[in-house]
Amino acid sequence: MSLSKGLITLRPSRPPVRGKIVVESLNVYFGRQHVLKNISITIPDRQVTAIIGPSGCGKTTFLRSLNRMVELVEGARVTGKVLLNGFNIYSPAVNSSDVRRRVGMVFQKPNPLPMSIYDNVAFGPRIHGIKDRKVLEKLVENSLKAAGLWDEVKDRLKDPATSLSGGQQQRLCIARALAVNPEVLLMDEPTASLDPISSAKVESLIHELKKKYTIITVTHNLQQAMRIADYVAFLFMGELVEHGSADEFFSSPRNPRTIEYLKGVFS
Amino acid sequence: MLEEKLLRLIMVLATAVVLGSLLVILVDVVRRGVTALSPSMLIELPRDGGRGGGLLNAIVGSLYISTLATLFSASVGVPAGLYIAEFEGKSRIARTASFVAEVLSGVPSIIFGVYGFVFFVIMLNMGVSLLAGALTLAYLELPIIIKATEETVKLVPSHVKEAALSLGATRWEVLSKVTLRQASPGIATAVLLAFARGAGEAAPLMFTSGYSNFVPSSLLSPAANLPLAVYYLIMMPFPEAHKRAFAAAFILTMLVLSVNWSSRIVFKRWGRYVVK
Amino acid sequence: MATSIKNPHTFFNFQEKGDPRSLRSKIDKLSTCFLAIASVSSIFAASSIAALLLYNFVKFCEQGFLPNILSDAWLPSKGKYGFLPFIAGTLWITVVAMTISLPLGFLTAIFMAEYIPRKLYSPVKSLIELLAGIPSVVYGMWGLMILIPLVRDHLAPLIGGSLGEALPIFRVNVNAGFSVLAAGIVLSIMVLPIMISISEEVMRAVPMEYREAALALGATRWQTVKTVTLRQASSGIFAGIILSFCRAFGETMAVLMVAGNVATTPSSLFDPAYPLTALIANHLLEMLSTPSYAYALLTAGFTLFTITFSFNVVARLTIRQLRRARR
Repeated sequence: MSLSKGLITLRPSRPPVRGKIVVESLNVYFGRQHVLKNISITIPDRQVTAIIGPSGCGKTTFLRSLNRMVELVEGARVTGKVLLNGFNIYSPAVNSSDVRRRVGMVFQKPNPLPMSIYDNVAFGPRIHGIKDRKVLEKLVENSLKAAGLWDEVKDRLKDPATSLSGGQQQRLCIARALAVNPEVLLMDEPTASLDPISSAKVESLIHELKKKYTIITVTHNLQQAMRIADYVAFLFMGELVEHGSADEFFSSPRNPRTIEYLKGVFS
Repeated sequence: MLEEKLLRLIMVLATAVVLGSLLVILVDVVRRGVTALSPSMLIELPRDGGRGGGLLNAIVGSLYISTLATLFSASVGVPAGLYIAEFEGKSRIARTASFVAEVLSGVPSIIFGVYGFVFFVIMLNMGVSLLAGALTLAYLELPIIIKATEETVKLVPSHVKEAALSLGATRWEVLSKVTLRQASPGIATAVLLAFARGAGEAAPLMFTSGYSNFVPSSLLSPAANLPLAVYYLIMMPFPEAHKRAFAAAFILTMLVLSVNWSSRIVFKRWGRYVVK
Repeated sequence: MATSIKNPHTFFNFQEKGDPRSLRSKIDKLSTCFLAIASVSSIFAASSIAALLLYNFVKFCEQGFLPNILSDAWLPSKGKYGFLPFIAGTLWITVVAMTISLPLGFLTAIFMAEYIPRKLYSPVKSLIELLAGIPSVVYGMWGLMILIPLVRDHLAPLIGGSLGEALPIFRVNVNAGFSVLAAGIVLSIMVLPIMISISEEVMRAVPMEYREAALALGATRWQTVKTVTLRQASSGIFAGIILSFCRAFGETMAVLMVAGNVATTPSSLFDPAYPLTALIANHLLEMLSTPSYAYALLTAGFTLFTITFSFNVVARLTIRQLRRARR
């Protein structure tokens, strides 16, 4: 499914790297606080990677360091490398705006922009230079279809985004992120504020989307992780304790802390 | 309890006195104004040194001066308010500008008149003119707009800004395309309220735009305005002049109150897209 | 694992005209500059006003007029610039205005914050806000048409005749209607909306939990208000009082029309007064003739500016502190 003309990803002419995102010795400091400690992990391409762990262990910070949103915090300092397609997104030559286009984000609470449904989805493409109305219309339609929202809103695209229900708003946010043709989709507890029916819809959406995008989701809900994840990473107190394919991770975890967590000792 | 009942009674009385006195004034203005008003008041120029004719000079003058002043003050004040709201923690200019706006909002209106007279009329050689008056009034309206814009923008929730940033928007794009849109009902209200406030002021304009019995023909000609029309006409010893003063007061009050009231409507209408 | 790539710009590449990426970041940087310049203009505005007034005050002092500033001889033609009558006039009028508006406004605010039936709150609040919008000349006109005759024909004979015998403050020395009392009454009405809205906002902001705690202990409504709400809201109310004072102190048009504008220090409520604002308004054009006259009038302006400035800053800092604590 080609979503737009004009936004093209060039593939490097070198042997393809195994993972989509490779994190090397990532450390994040908020002032004096050492929040993420020496994390190294390879995120597999076109799979769902779930980041799990107790509250406050740095899951969201880790997610936000993958699209340079962590820089927005006062006094934040990042060392190490995050390689997207082999290229370090923290290199000074790279523009954070570019990175965020390629690595999209969906937040815990749906955060529509103060505009119509159409303008919400069209916002990303517009700021990245797409002006042609026909192109935008097609883009909006395809993105809303990809997010499973098109049928519900196609007759009221000019309505305010706030007139949608919570579940619909979250799918709108997904459509909005998809509209700029990202390669990776970061999702911070995307169903945490949704009712069970909407959550189920989003989960099945994630299942569809992983065919085309690499998805990294933070989740509190171990059952959800078991349902949707292909790969799991367990974060504890800012450290990466264990990671592996979901089957291995849940059936035979190796690290004692992982075992404890899965048994439900923490949070 | 007797104490309770008594106090309650006193409070209701106080409120009644407050509302009553305010209503008395309003009713008086309307009563006098309606009897004095006639179509000729609105479309004719004054005659006989104020004893006859209409108020066209003052009406047009007021509209010109207030619109111009509000244009000036909004084009400086809204960006300034945006800057202060976004950069208050990080920029000394922002903090100083915020403080200064507080200071300016308490300055008596005659002081603006004095300053405008010395600076615009004399030093900048504009003479007593529409332009000098509009600039002086703009100074008066500036802190209102800055403070209101600052407060409105500060209320924009951070998750809205984050959404835009996560799509790759630059800081300016977030500010101009998202924050501004979220804040626009509040800003529009502030601008309208500033306009209404400016329209009701006489002291800053007494010596800067002066007065004239004609519709201003250029930016550098003197201009009449409704508040000063009320003042000059009521101070004359002629009952015909007083009649025209009542009409002017009525028109002015209706103008100001309707702008105030319309700002609420604007707020509701524009608020359709705003995220809570 | 990192592969080195010669030109990073072609790797993250858009097929768009004119490399919008660098254009966007240029706009980003420029726009911040533009916004900062707008802020600087506002600083410029305030500083130039302050500078102008300060300059003239300094000149006033240089010419040796400062020592006599509080004398009550105002004779510009003879070079005498004693401000006492005007300062006194302003103070008398402001005090009268505050004396009337404080209790009225305060009681109304409590009523609106604690006791008013829910359905009435919105219309009453709207009405008060509406009336805050009425221009000062209109208040002045009303004062001239209604209040002056009322004072002259009814209040002065009544009060002056009875209380005036015993208390000089009520004595009617000159019965023209143009008086401290008339100006004070008009000002008090103008100042009420500010007083009410600030006090009411601050009282409403007192958390329900505090009030509920008092009520649960058996306090009556009024006792709760007295001990909990008012105590919590006191600094906000204080700020409201200060702002109202500033407003009354700096008002020009309304007092210009009803105070009488006679340059003697008032000794009774029924005496006329000449507030500083009216002085400036009446004589500004004359100042062009004599420089020292100009210095004197602008010094009056300087006085007004500094007093309202300082009080205003104190009041707003108090409000800001309150709002922060609440959040």
